[in-house]
Amino acid sequence: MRKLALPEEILLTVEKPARYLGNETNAVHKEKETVDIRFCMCFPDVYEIGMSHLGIQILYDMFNKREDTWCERLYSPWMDLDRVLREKKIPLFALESQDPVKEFDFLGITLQYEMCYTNVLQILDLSGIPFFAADREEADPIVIGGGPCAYNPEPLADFFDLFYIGEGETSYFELLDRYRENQKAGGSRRDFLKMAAGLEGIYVPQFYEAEYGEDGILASFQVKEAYRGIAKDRIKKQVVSDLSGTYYPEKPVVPFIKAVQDRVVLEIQRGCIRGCRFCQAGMIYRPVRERDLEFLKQRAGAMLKSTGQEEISLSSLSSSDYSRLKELVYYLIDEFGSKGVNISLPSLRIDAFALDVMGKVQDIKKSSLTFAPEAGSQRLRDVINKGLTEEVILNGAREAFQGGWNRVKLYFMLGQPTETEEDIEAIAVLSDKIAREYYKLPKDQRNGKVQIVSSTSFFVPKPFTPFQWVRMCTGEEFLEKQRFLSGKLKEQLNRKSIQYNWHEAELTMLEGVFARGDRQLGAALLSAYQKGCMFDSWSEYFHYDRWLEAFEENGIDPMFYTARERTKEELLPWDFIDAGVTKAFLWKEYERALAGQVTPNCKVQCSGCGAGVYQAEICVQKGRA
Amino acid sequence: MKLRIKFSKTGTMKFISHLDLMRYVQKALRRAEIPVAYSQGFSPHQLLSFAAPLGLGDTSEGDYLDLTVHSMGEPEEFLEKINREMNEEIRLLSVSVQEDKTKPSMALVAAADYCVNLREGHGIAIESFPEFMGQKEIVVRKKSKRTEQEVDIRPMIYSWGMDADGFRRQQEEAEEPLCPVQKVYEEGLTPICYLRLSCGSSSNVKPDLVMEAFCKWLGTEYEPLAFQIHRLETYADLSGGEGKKKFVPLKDQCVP
Repeated sequence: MRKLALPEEILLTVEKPARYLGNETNAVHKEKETVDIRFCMCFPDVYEIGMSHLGIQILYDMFNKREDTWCERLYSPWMDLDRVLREKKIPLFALESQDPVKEFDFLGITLQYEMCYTNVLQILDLSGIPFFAADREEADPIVIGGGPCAYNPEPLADFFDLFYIGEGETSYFELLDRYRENQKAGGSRRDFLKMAAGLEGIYVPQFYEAEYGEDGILASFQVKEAYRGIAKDRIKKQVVSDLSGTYYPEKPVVPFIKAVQDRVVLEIQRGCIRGCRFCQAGMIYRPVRERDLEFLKQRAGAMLKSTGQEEISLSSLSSSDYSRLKELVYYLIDEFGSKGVNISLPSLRIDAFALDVMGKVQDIKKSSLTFAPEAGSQRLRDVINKGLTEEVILNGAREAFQGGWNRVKLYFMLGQPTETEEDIEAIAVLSDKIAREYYKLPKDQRNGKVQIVSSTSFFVPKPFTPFQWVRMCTGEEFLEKQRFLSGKLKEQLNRKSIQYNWHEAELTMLEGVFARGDRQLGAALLSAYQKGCMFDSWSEYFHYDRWLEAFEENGIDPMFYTARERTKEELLPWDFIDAGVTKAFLWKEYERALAGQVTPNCKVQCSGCGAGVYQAEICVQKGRA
Repeated sequence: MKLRIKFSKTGTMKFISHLDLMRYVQKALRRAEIPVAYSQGFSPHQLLSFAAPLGLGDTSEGDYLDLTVHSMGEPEEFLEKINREMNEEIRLLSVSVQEDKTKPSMALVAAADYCVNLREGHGIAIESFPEFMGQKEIVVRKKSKRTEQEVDIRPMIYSWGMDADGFRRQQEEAEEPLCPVQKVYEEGLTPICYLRLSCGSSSNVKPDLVMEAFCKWLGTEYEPLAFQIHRLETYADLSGGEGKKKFVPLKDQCVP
């Protein structure tokens, strides 16, 4: 039998033991004696979620292409196993070799959302790696963070040796080369960190110092005296200019158990032309870059063949903006549809093409239409620069209803800048208008009753967006907005057809604290973890009271980070990162938002956001690169 | 054409649940590009079904699945093609072509043979097992999803033995030699008894239930983790429900 880190008695008593086995289809196995570098790639959440993440699949494939490197995977052990590991003092292990994480050269942790920060500490703790980077010794793995939350790494600065800012395809190999050089030369951990600090996109938090004023606001942030000339003043985001000439897996790992994404994922483009002002992904992944159609066709076929998956999903922030979408989708339907392959198209604008495709690939009776107007009124949609108009929504819905659909999902946000009661009421009115549109159909053409599900989340201002300066609502304000909307929905004619879903305000508050947090939060994060906070995004394990205690004990006022408006002049904790989009552009966008002015998308006109320096095709065409 | 395939599930694959195993095989068939027949309708699925679910943690060298394909080619090549797409702990062992009118194995399955193994570090007074089996009835509390009732499982234990030879002597009808169990096994296991138990949708006795009853009879605590259950073979009953049971392995033609 394959060697497993966990004894049988444990595997037979925990939920879903397959989470911890490794050896899935397409998992990569190497002889550890034949490699120089062992990299453990971690998604700090439960297996089924982590396995659904495309970024890790890309890096896993890319790292394992190197002969000198063996990259393995790691996910958060679920609560039941967490208890057992602590009790029996079993060190956390990587899936492929089942070897302890502590034996690895690198522990890479992807930071996809703020609510996984306590799980980062769980991983370090169970692996037996000191929490603080400063306390780590030569034999400990180099702990490196990446992903969208690395664009404001400061709340986690104490716990990471390195952060990689941007897309992994560009600088990682250089980093690994340096590591090997240092290893061969007998250099120390610190020698390597110094070498790494010289690379583009790499941030070594220990080499910087932050000072805060009496008001708690960041007063200065700079390279420590001893590391001047070694560490960079500004860390430049890494971007792949040509997405078709780079790594993309042909053999993604296929889990034994059903993952959240139980399908092949084809990333058709990166970045987004839209420029919605609340959206961090839309800003930090700029500029938009499309993958070549032939490249996508080839990869789609190769991945379906190597995985045996029955579904392929196109992934991007806004699929409808991919210029050759029709060709791609019809190719996939023609080529694979007859083989029983299902095609899923999230983030598609509802129009005649979308309805045609959806009618071909989905069971209309079971599927629903999705719109994300994000705000109820046109005024507020202009403020947030969401191009979707009521007319487009109602036309799309009408055509869909004529085509046999009767379910609609709507996504909105509460608490965006300048929001008034009229804007909130408009959510209820729009939901009702869509239902009315349905009942305009002659009775014999209707497919039963219409079902509308309106969901609201709470707006969290994020770094590197035009709203990075704004005041976030308090929990009470959020709940008041929610109650108001709930009341307004009950006043609508079609209230019985409208279902209302909402998010929890307390979790949103916590997300708000860490999204725009600074280094002062590190101690509170550790306290919260030590009080037992973990898997915060799982409501059954979210303990807001423990968090409040942790903040209190560490002298942190959460409202300082959430419900405080920043001035234009304020030094923001993430200002040292150059994400392409400039602070000046973001401020201009903020002013335009307040004036209710929309900004055209990148295909219509260049707005000079700053991401043109990456020389992407669209920027070159528009003459700003 | 309807195929019945015998397979084994050993090693770490015992931690893969029945549903996940089904998904695993479905994907392997697609990777191997087997011309599997699909059901009709809007979301077609492979015509694939399993005879009798194996409990999580149990291993087997005698499980079956039914598969409908458009063509098979050479049986050995066919099996090899699929085996290449799966890890070595799941092996397709043999394939037989079934008549179109044959019932699915799920409906045919009537009994299964098991070897019960004791894990290292555990003990049990197995020498008393013959005495336990000598009882006229063995009443256990059987829990279903809703109800809990007392059932006499003795009639559902068709035969038993303390070793493979003894077990076989009880089965005149057994044509297939029993496989040497330890060969496919992990270390640290001692076979302690062999059981042929009722299996299937109408009546089903898991070996665990027998061992639990045995422990209760002994007056010792039942530790589920002490035993490793290994399925050896799965049978249909060709007696037609009357008289003596006539068990044949599912891989044989089972047109009743």
